[in-house]
Formats: sequence, C-alpha cells, structure tokens
Amino acid sequence: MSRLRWEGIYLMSDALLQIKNLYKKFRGVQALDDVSLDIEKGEVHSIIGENGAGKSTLIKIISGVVRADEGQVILRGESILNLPAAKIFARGISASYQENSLFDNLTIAQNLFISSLYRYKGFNFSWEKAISGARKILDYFGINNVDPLETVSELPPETRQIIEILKTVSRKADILCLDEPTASLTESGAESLFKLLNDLKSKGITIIYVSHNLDEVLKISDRITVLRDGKKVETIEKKSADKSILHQLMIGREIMQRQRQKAPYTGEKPVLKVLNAGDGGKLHDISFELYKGEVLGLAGLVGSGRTELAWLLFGLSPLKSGNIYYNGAVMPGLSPATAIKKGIMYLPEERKLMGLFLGQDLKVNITSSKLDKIRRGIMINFRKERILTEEVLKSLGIKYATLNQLALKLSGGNQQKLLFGKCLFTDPELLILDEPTKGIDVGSKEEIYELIEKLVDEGMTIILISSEVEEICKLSDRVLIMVKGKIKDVYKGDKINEKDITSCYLQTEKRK
Amino acid sequence: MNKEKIGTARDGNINNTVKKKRSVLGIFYNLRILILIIIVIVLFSSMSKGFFSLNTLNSILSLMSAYGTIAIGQTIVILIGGLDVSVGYIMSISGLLLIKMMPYGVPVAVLICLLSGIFIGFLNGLIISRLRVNSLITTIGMGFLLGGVALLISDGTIHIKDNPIVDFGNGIFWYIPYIAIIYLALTALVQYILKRTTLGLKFYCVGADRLSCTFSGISNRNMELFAFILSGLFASLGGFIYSIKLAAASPLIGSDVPIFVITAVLLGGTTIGGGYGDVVKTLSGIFLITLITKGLTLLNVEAYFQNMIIGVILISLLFIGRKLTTKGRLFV
Amino acid sequence: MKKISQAATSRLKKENDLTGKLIRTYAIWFVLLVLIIVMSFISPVFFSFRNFITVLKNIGPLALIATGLTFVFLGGGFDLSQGAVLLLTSMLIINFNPVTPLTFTGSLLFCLAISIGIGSVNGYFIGMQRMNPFITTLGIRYIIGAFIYIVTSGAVVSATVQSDILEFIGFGTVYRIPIQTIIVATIIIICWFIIRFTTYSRRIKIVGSSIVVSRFSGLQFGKIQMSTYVINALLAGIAGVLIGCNIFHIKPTLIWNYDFDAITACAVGGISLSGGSGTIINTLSGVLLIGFINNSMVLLGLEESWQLIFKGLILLIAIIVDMQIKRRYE
Repeated sequence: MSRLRWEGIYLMSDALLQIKNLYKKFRGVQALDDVSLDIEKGEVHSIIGENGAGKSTLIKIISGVVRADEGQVILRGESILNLPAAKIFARGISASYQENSLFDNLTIAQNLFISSLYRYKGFNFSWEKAISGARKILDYFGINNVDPLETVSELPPETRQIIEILKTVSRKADILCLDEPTASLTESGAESLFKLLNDLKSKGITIIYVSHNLDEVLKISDRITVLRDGKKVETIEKKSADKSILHQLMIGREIMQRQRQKAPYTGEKPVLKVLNAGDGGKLHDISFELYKGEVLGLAGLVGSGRTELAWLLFGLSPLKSGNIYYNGAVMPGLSPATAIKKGIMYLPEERKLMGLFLGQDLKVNITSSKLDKIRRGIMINFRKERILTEEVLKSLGIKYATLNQLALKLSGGNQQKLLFGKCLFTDPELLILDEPTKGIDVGSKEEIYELIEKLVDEGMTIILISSEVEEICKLSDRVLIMVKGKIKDVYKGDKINEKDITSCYLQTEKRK
Repeated sequence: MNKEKIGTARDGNINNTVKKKRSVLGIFYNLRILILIIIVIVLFSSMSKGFFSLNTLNSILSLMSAYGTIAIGQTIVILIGGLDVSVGYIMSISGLLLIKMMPYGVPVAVLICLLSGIFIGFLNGLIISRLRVNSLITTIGMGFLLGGVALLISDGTIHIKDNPIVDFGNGIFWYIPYIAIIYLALTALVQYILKRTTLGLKFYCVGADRLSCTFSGISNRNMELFAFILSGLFASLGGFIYSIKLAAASPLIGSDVPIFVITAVLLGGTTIGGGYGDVVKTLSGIFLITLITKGLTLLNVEAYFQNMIIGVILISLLFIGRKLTTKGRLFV
Repeated sequence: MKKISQAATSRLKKENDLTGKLIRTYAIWFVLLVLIIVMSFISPVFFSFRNFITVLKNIGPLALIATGLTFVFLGGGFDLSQGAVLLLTSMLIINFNPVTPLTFTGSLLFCLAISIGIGSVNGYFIGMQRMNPFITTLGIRYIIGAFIYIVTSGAVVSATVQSDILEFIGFGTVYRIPIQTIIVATIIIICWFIIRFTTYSRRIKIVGSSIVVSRFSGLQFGKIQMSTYVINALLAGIAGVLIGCNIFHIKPTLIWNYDFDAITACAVGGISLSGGSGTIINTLSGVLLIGFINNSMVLLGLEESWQLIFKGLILLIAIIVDMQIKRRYE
C-alpha cells in the first residue's frame, strides 16, 4: 500500500495516462511483456503492430475489460489497474474494441443509452429521452439516414461500425481508445471518422488509436508506439516516421516489394464460363470467362455483389438465371459438396464465423472439407490424417504446438493460413479467395501473397475478391469491376492500377 | 469468450445485409398468439353454449394465476439465456412452508414462504453465475435435492384449516379473483421493469451478448444471479397463490411444473437462448393454454387432448416462423 | 505483485503438467471411484459381483438413451422427447404380448420403426427445416405423451399373457450376466466404435461445432443432424423395449423418471451441451455415476426424501468439481 502511494508521487509527471511494466499472459502466450508508455493530454497516440503483438490486449487492460498479471496503469496519479470496467468508464476512459460490442436485439437508441449507463443514476428511464438523445448524437456526427429506432441486427456492417464508434465517443470521455475502427468502413466512412477525430482532438480529448494500417496511422497521429510480440519496440514522433521505418519496426525486417510476372492469358478453352447468371436477388446478368492459371480480381464496394457472386459459384446460393460452364460442361444445381468434388473451393471472408471450427483441433479443421481423402471404408485412417495434416501445416509454415491444438489458440495470421490449408487440402483447381488478408498483419500478408503466386505458378486458377485495391492490382491478371450486382467493366494490362479501378466503381456512386 | 460469439452465429443471424421485409404475413405472425386466442374463443363459443361468459373468464384467470406467476420468473431467466427447471420444487417447498408456518401467524408464514424461494434462487444463481455451471444441469440437480427437501417437510398433502387467507385465495372482485389481480399486477410491474428501467434493459443485454456486456461495463454474473433470485421469488409466489387457492400444498406436484411453464413462455414468443421476449407475451401464452384446457373441459373432451393441441401449435408456429424468416436468407 | 507472479508461474507449471491433463479428462471417474470406495466401507453388500451386476442391469435403459443423446449433443442439438419415445415403445411391446418368436420379431420391428419415424420427424424439422431443437422436441413430446394418454386413458398398461421371450430378455442371464446388459453393452460398444473411429462421427462433430462453417465446408449438415435424431430415437425405442421386458405394468408417469436423467448423465460426464465435443466414455462415466448413486441410496436404506437430497447433492458436487477442474486447467 505504502509502495503504491510512493510510486504515485514518483510518477507525477505531465503524462495523463501512464502505463508501467505491464505483463499479461493468455493461454501460455505472453501477450504483453514489460510494456511501458506515457500518453500525453490532447495527443493522438497510435499503437501499431502485427496481429498478436498485444495491441488489443493493451486497450482491454486500460479499459478494465481484461485483468493484467502485473504492472501499473496510472491515470492522473491514481492507479486504475484492474478496476471494474464501469468504474474506469466513470473516470473518463472509453474504448471500442475489435469485437463488435453492440447488442443485436436492441435498437440503436437503446445501444447508445447502454453505453452511458454507468453515469445514469435513476432506476427507470424514459424512452422519449433516450431516443431524442440518440437522435442528437446521430445529428451531431452528421448521420441523418439512420433511424434510432432501427434494430441493430438489421443494419449493414458499416453502419454498425459507425454506431460502435459513436457509442464510444458519446460517452464524453477524456481518453478515447479505438481498436481498429476502420476495419469495416469504406474509404468515405474512414474519411469522416478522421474528420471526427480531428474535431475531438481540437477539443482537447486524448485519443489512443490502434491499427495495423500504416497510412491511417501516419495521417492522424502525433506519436506512434510500435509493439512486436508483446514487447514495446519504440515510441516515435510522427515527423520522424515514415512507412518503411514503421514497417521495419513492426516486423523487424524489411519487406521486399514484388510484382508478379503477369502471364498474358492464352486464348485456350476457359476453365469457367459464366453466361448471364443471376441469383434472383442481388446479382444480374453476370458474364465472364476465366482461364487456367489466371488470377481474376473482383473489385467493388462492400455490398456490390462480389461475395454473392462467389457464393453463387460455390453453390451456396442457387442459380436462378443464366448458365455456368465449368471445363466446358454445364453445372446445374450446384451445392458446396459437389463444387468441392469438382475442384472448386471457396475461402470465406469471415474466418471465425464461416471458415474455421474454432473449437476443434487442427487436424479436424484441415481435413473437414474432404474427409474422403482420409477415409478407409467407413473409418478414419488416423495415420494418414496425421501425415497429410502435418504436410499441409508445414508447407504453409503454420506455427503450432501439437496437432491436437484448438484452432482458437492460433494467432490471427496463423488462423488465416490454417484456412488456406483447409482449402488446399481439397486439391482445388479453382480457388475463390474472399478477402484473403482481412484483419491480418503485414508479415502474414506478404506470406499469403507469396503463397497465392506459388499456387498460380503451379497451375491453379484463382478468383480474388478484395477491398484493398492495392492487393488486387498487385496480384491480378484481369480485374472485373462490380457495381450494384453487375459487372461494370473488365480491366487488364496497364489499366490495372489503383486510380483507374477506384474511380471506375466510385463514378456510379457519385452520379447517384 | 469466442465461443459465445460463435454460439449466436450458429443460430443463424449472420447474414445481416439482407433486410427484413415487413410482409402482411409477417404482421400476422407477430400477432399469432392473439389471433389463435380469438380463433379458439370463437371455436369454443360456437361449440359450447356456456363458454363465452364472465364465469369462464373467472375460472380461467384463477386457473392460470399460480403457474402464470412462476412463468414470470421463468421468462426473466430465459431472457438472460438460462433455464430454471427447479421452479416446480421451489413452488412445493414454499407452499408447504407457508402452511407449516401458519400457526405463527400469516405474515410470518408468507415471509418465510417468500424467503425460501429467494434463498433457493440465490443458491441456484450462485452456482450458475459464480461457478459457471450450465443452468439447466444445475437446476436439474437442485430439483432432485429440493424434491427430497419437500418430502422431508411433509410426506403428503397438507391442508390449511379455517384461515382467512383461504377466503382471500378464493375471493372474487367482480369475476376477477384476488389471486389473478396479484398475478396481473405482478405481470404489469415486471413488464414495466423490463421495458422501462435500466435493470430490465440489462437483462436483455445479458441475454443477447455477454461479451458486449463485459465491454459495456454490465456485470454478467450479477445479472445472472439476480435473474435466478427473481425466478426463485416468483416460484415461491406461485406456490403461495397455489396453496391459498386450494388451501393445500403437496410435495409431489413439482415434477410437471417446469415443463408446463417453459412451454407457456416459449409459446408466448420469448426465444430460448435469450434476448427477445417479455412477460406480456408469456401471459398470452399461458392464457392460450388455459383457454384450450377450459374449453375442452366444458366440451367433456379428455384433458389429454390439450397436450396434443399444444404440441401441434408449438411445432406449427415455429415452422411457419422459420418459413417466414428464412426467405432470402442463406444461413438461418 | 510478488503474489501475482507466483500465481503466474504456478499456472505455467500446471499447463505443462501431465497429471493435470489426466485429472481434467477423468475428473468424473475420480468422483465415481471415491463414491465406490466410500460405499464399500459403509455397506458390506456394496462391493460384490452381484451388486455390480444389479447396477449394470438397472442403468441399461439410461445408458442407451444417454448414448443416443450423446449423438444429438455432438451434432449440436437437444432432445426432450426421449422419455416419451421410451414410454411409447415400452407400452407397445407389452400391449402386443409377443408370445412366439415371429410375433416378437414383428412387434420389435414395429416398435423400432415407430421410433425411427419419430426420430425422422424430429430430425426433419430440426435438421432440414432448421427449427429450434428445444421447442420442436418439446412439441413432439407433448404430442406423443397425449397420444399415449389417449390410447391408454391414463391407466396402467399390463401384460395379460405371460411371454417367455419377453421374460428371457428381461430376466435371463448368460454366465450370471443378464441378457439385457449384454444387449446394452453390445450397442454401446458399436456406438463407441462409430464415435471413435468413423468419418461419420467426424461429420457430426464438425456440424455440431458450427453449422455455418460446415456449410462452407461442403457438408450436408441438415442430413447429418437429422441422422443423429434418428439414432437417438432408435436407441430410446430399444431402451423402451428393454423396460417393457423388465416391468410388466407400465404407468404413464414413467416418463418423469427418465425426463432429465439422460441430459444429466451426458452433462456430468463431460459432453458439451453446445455441441462438437465428447465421447461415449464421457457419457458412460455420467451414467455409471447416476447408477451407483441410485444403488447406494437403496443399499443404505434411506428414505426417499434423503435419497433425492443425496442424489441432488452428489450430482451438483460432481458437475461443480468437473467444471472447476476444467477451468483451472484451461
């Protein structure tokens, strides 16, 4: 006790929030290892690092959601470590997390009201006030097209993310912690977020901004702290930072920029030919051809029908009109099972929801899509299973303890590689990748790019869906641009560059 | 933590981009219990002469009060994503205690009756929230234990003799039994709490998403504990109402109560797994079941037919609901 | 601070501890062992071949329905209709009074067909139509229950003619081991084999672990889930037939005896109620625990009230111990 007080006096410096020697261990992994940093009043302090570097854990400890093993968090000279979350809110720290913390069954007004419950003293409340309060918040941030009485589960992902941020901001906190706030925002959404953050900053609010997107970080922050493997690498001023320095600090090595030797596709028979296809809902009149050994990029805004097209090809949604020819033959009544049998595999965008059995071990995950490969009669050939799984895991460079490890316990990048392993285990000829690098760090991203190039060299055909235009430009041989469920244009050769593609799919939006 | 997130996803609502369309059928489906109640009333009125009368209303209200009160507590527990199958035995124990304690005066007896429920609910809640055991399994185990305790208190049915409280239990205010007034008042009170207070909002939050609750500074453990205490309290209130109406209590009535009560809650439209529903829904569910029972009794049909009807209604409503919501959705 | 770091290091030790893993896997077996040892000291009759055989015979039907439920739980489902199926087939087999092998086979097949039918209805609604398993099976349970009441008018169903075949299955022994136990054991070994070794069980587990992911993995989750309900109902039907052979007067209230026992056995044994993990060995440990608790209570000559109290207490303790150990070593 006396020690605490002593340290309190000792640490009376200018810094608003001091973090001293924080340790945290999760399931045997050291998530935070002796992390110390100061956050000054009124600054935008970014925390960057690869996935699993401990950024999110740090935010959660500061806001009291996760308990630290050791260390100190001192706010205005008072230790707030391991206090209950509600008490930390009351002291003026407000945080949004990567996990969606909205209540799906409640309305926007209710959700915004809940965020300020810790300040609310009364037992009962009036709906009228909560709704008008919510409307005020929405108006203040310039969102007019949303009704506060709408249920959150019916909102599109982007609006949910905005509500999530508003919920954090509306708490009128002195310190805002934002963990990857732009993850499901479009570019225009991100722009208005940055405007909002600048506003808040000018009002003297301190912002802790967590991200792995270096462009964003460089745009808005005053100081940047880099974490790697749970350790603090360095805190640098913005003026002395640039992208390559940050890259290097984050991964500890330089990344080689590569450009794939784009093979001009040959005019032979197409692997896949889609003619006037539609799913009776979002997609209309889709026609394109796909050749062997080609990477076909699908660009477009979120909700432009890219994922729906992938689902159509994989047989997840029914083909209502038009035809799909695969290797020259018509494919009627496709289902995921037959698609896999024919050599089409789909890598879904949400690896935690759609891709991996998180509660099952690595073997089960890898083999789940093609159990026939490890079958002997009706039985599982456990030896073969082990050998084949190890083979896949090794070839992808996945770090794991044992084959019986749960998928849950892998880090984000390794989980994504595991998902690749699951897809490759089915020996696909045509692989549909939906946001293959979503939410993973720069290092793993590079490895996945390498992998994609290797696969194409081996003769696999790939459809690549991505919101990162840079990624599409880097990898694709041809790019289909989708707008509102239709294919607007096909780019190839020199036309594949970020500016042309973005302007192509944004034009229609503006015209509207 | 992750598991809970996935749990909600497994139930289907991941395809959020598809907007729910408000169709005519959808509106009808939302009013399904009301429509069914009207249909049942019209059917029975046409089949039996004495059905459409205030006397029937009176007997239905007095029939549904005891189980209805228990169902209020059960609704709260289901709202937060749990299940309480020990309510039947809580009801017998508190009923037995009420009668056993009568010699010490009515206030003491009522107090002990209610305290017993609160105490058992507290135990349930403690095990479930602090030791993180599945609520169904905990309350099954607790059910065995309480069944034994009930038998310890009394071997068989015991009666209240010559006590004004029995008159109260069978008293009527213009066709509305006093016990029904208690029940309806409690329903109104809990409905108010659920819809208009921060406490109620927190129940919905815990049922919907525990991870988000942690992030919002709502204590999952305390809300869970509180829900089970309330369930115990309402179960003992149910026992109180049951005993003063019949002037008797028995250690053997507990076994079929939980299933009946859960059925009423689910029929009303509160969803298992938590997050949606309220006590007025539960009221309509239990009213429908009682209506069918009463109608069949008036028609001299064997009472077992009501179970058949309840089963068919349960499944067909669920089936229709599925058909309506799955339209245009991939994973529901 | 020192205290915290000590806790951290001791936690690290536990993670690497093999005994930790053993305790986690076999927690319920330890509880069972303790119960057996304690009982052996208290009651002289308890630790004997004869008594163990009695326990094994008594838990037969429960073991079968718990095994069936294991399939359903693994597939991420839930079932409340087992007790009703069991009651129905036990009444049917008595009602038919099969005297010759031919009539016995006929009535047996009829019983099994009925249970498969009920299982398919459950499975169709839950697996193919994606309806909530809890409400669906609750509804089915009401319907079967009402059907039984309507047919029997709520009275006891008794055998009118003595049937040697039923008696043989119910009371016959081979080398002092009851025929019933042999039948149950055979079925459980088959189920153990299926769950341990086959690709089918792998499919069940991954469907139970996440429907959405299994859809993206090209599995026919509807049919797989449906099949678990069919297996479950079939096993409940067989359990019913065995009960019918054993008890010649069946009350319609029998349903309550089996209401939650199977769920408790599975949960206590360590089957995850949210699907995807567990083995038949888990289920067996739960079933044996319940069987030995019941047996001990009878041997101790306790009153019914104390029997229930102890049963409840031991079950609560078992599940709490299991939960705490799992949490500690997670």
